[in-house]
Amino acid sequence: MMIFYCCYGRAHSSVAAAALHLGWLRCSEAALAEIIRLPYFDCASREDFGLPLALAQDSRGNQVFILGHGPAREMVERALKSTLEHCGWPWEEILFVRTDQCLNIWTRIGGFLSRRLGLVFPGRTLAAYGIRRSLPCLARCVARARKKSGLDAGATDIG
Amino acid sequence: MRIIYHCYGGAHSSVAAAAIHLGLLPLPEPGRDAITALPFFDQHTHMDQGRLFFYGTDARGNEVFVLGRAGAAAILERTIRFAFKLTGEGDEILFVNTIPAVNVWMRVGGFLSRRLGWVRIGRPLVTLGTELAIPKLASLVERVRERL
Repeated sequence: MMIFYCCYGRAHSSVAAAALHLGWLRCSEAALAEIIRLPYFDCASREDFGLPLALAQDSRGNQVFILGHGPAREMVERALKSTLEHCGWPWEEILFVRTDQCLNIWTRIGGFLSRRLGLVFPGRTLAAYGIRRSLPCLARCVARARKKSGLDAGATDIG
Repeated sequence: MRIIYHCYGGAHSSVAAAAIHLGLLPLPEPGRDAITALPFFDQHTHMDQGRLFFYGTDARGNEVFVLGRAGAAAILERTIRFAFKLTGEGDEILFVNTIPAVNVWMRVGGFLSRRLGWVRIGRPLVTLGTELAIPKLASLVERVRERL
């Protein structure tokens, strides 16, 4: 199965959710520095909108991606799904997980400062603080995705 | 090679260009009945934007597609290129923007038919506009064929 963790910019909530999925991050123990050190955290730009990034395979062999849809969320999902289907990939094997529902004001402001204005240090720290606060919500999203993808883990297993 | 004709809604100019490419429209004057009878012509809604529609295979074996991409052409181009590459289907893809061939009749008719649902008024207008745009679309398709 291909699991796409999607948010607006592919820089914060999707990265954290994918890290939870892959066990790179524990919901209950995550420190700010640990979040900031995650691969691809606070790194993407507008040129990455629409371009999924493969992170790793989970223990069941599901390929985990992060995806920033920018202002075209539904269209990007349809484009990806229809193209993969044309190539013979069954639609049941494609899972989109929207993580921006877990975003809070801290991550939004931090992301804007860092990615849009280029104020990386304050922006990245603020975004990481926001992500730490939204980890329980992200963990619930991940738990649902893991269950759908056959990993069958409850929220407690995510941390 | 894959050729993706794209316009705002994927309902008119991209459909006509794909049909010209595949020889489904008798040129130089196809007539309005032939235009309205084209598969997908004036059919797609905003719920189809972003979805890639296979239209046919040309004589050289190139696959021809139609795409409605609203204002997100660059974003969707990245997504579609990624998906083809991921499945090992190759990355020889040509994206062809058909918007430059669109005229005011197509815009007004397309808006009435697709956005407002006034098909009885919008479809004849957009068909007239497409008929008037055929020379431009044919020239665009000719340039595409030269690149193949």
